[in-house]
Amino acid sequence: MPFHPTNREGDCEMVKTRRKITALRVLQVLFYALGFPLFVHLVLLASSSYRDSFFVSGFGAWKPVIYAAVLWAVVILAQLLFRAVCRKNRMARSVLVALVAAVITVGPIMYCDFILKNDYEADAAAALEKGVEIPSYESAITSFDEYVATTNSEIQQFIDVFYLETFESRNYNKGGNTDGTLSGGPDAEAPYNELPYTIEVEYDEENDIYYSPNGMFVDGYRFGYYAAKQVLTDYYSNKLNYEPRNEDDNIDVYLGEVLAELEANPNSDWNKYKRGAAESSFAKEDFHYIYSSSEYDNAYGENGTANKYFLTRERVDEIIEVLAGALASQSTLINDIINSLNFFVSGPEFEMIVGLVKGLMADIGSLDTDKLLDILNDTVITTEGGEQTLAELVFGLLGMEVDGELTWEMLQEILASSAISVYISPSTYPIYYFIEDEGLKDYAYAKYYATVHGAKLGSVLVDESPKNGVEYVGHVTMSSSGTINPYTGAELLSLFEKWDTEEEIQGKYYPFFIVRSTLIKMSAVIVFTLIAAYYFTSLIDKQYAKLTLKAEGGRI
Amino acid sequence: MKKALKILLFIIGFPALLAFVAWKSVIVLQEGSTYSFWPYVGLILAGVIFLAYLIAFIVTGKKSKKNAGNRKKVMRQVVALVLVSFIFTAGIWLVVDIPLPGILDSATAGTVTFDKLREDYGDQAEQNGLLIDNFVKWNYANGNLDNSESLDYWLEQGWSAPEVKELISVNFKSIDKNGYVTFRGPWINLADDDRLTIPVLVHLVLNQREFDEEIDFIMNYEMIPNLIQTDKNPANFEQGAPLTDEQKELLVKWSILDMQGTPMEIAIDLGDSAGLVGTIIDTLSPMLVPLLYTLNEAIADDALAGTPIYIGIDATEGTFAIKINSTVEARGMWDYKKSAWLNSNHLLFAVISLFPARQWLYIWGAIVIFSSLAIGALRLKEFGGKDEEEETKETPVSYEPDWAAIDAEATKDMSPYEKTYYYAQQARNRR
Repeated sequence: MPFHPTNREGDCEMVKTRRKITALRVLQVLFYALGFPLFVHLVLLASSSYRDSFFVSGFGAWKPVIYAAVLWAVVILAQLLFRAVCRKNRMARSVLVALVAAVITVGPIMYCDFILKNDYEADAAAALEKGVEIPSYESAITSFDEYVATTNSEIQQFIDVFYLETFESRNYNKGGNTDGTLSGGPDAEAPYNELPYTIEVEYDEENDIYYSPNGMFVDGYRFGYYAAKQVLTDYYSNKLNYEPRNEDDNIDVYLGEVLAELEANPNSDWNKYKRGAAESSFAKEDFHYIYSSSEYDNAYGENGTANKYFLTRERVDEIIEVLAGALASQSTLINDIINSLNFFVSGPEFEMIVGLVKGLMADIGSLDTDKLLDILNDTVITTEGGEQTLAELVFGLLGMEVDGELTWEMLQEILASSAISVYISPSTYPIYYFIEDEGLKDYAYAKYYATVHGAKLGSVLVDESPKNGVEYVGHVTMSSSGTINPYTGAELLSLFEKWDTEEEIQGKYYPFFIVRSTLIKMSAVIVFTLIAAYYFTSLIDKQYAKLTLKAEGGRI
Repeated sequence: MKKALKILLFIIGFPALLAFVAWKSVIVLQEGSTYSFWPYVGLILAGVIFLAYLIAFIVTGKKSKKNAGNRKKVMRQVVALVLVSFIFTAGIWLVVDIPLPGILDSATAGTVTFDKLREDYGDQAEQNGLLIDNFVKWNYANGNLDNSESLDYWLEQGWSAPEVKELISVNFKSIDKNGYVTFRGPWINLADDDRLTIPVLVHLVLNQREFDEEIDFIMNYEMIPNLIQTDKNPANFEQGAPLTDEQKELLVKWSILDMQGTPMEIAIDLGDSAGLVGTIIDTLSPMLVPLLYTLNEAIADDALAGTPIYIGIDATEGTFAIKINSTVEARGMWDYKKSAWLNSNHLLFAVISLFPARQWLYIWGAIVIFSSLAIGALRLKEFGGKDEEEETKETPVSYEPDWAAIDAEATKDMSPYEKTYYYAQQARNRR
């Protein structure tokens, strides 16, 4: 048939057809978008509270969205497959795709309600046996976001109380441990010291902890949630489960005895370690030095690397010498001040202080650590509470207890336990490493972290000297007295149990619950909109066929 | 009329934007007036962007005129002008805003944040202006700046005076190399992060540090804090004697208090005895001051802190507090963080000056795009001839199918001979 280029009627028809195609195309895209794309978007919205959960991060936080995307991807693959298989039969293709979509959308709901539910209820029963009550399946599948928010709020309070600041830990050691142990990788800067402190600190990703070469937390490590939980669990579980041997016994007494034995016994592993004995001579199985048998001496011996970072006997001697020298140079002036004070102040207490100062000044030129300790022990002061030695009075004012005569060792212990002057070299094992009783060993480490390490960092986990029974923990600094600890040890342990269970439940089930809750509303919509999209596709194809026929010469 | 409208539209576009940037940059320019061209960087950048826009404006105008009658080409110029107006206003910043916070954060070690500068650049400019003003005042007071000139002279000179530049550079090196970097481990970071616990303070004071003996420090007078402040003598500092050459050679070291800058105060509540204690301190201060001075010298000994820390008493206005002063102000320095800022203040002023430009290029960008479009529309009207719709209305033409596509479809299954015949037929028909 001849072609008629000036066929105006045919042209109008063509324009109409094109308009129809455009309208159908819009409907096709719209209906497709109202199916799986909308579903994935709704899952994204529904999982926002899940992503806020402290327990999920990284890839895990996107699980619900990934599951939803996988469902969509399966349907896309099916579409492609059926397109290849059913090239001619459009209807068959539509029916098959609808069937796949129905199975893919209804399937997960069935999976949740008939399979996952049993697992969930089994886990809930197991949790109940441990004393943790988790919501019923029916509650969890509808109110999962509320449960996530409640747990988050509890954990936030825990973080605030202990001044962790964030759920994740932080390592304040930008350059390395104080003694130069590096916190960087193999490309990190050279160590500060000449000793072989080139082994970098290790990061335990699972527990979010930075470890020094000696297996302890690095100097500037601020606890994250997991580390604080571990320390407090080790502390309270051992403390509360300890069975006293007699009335005055408790785990601290027992620990004190074990540590004293390690110090006193020349053949203890601790003393062997300090001496640098052969590894085979240790009672501890598979014992190995971190670097070499001289590592303890390198750190704490003469010119040891650790000695720069705490008050050694030599350092205290030097300090006393300098201060005594300064006071001696002004002894006349001090006498004048005391004499002048007589004009303003009097009374027995003043006389006592004057006597003390005069006694100190009489011998100031030869004052050293031993003499100072003698003065502190021998000077007896009468206060409202009765007679006290000067040592008891001074340390009592600082909130520290002096039991008996103050010796240099005791002074060191007091300064160490109050975190004022203590430095465990990251390159040497601490004494706790050699405790045989595993439970006691865990307790010893936990006690150190909770009280001394935490006190250094301003994140005190345990207050061992409560004032009037009130524990102050967390942000104890020069300008802040911390927070009143609202938890008892037992409460903390049961909270940890609860949070551990919730972490497991949230990670294992909630992504499915989120997808399920969206699928409940969307499965029928998805199938319908997908069919509609196919229908509009077929209509578009029909319209195209008209255009093609016209081009071939108007054989409509 | 059209020309006047075009001029008006042009003026409310980029020139007005430039005026806003200049207006909002006044505070930055005032505060950084002694920093040469650095505070003008933002304004200069806005000017350069304006120039680029102006060139685009002129070129597109000329091309529109040249292609008068060719609507398509004139339209292309309109699109180009609108695109340029977007790229040179919001567009450029949408890209720059991606790396800028990170760059700013790492350049200032997190002490100046992008969010702070974004809207509050005026306050930051004032803070940075104070850095140099107070630095000059303290160094005038301690004789580091020549006292034969007036303080106002030095304030006017500011950073532009070579003596001031040298003081900043040399003395910062001292607080950096013989201060901040000598603190090992996490302790200084903890103190900076509101975790100054007693153990951290003890570590920072007692840990042995290594100093660089070669680092100089410029100081001409010894100025020490007034160790006993009373109502009769509330001054913060006492003017000391000029330092001897030998004293000037002594190594200047810095303590943790110098890093923090602010003095530590331990207030003691004396209750009813406050008056008596005040009287005692007033009376005994001539004896107490030398004693405290001796003790402070002992603390500065290497066996103790190794750096001067001034322990004194504040007994003003009926209060009683032990005050531990740093040496920074007496030495004519800011704390470490601000000293580091001051050392790079010219660069900081350059960065701050970008923000008024950034803000107004964002805000006024929409107006510039609108004015460019409006000017383009006027050009199109003027030079673009009649548009297609109008032409269609005046001389309706038949619908012209896509013959090539139609022919291709029609001859899809034809043999070469049939195709030749088909095309011959079509050609005849179309003729």
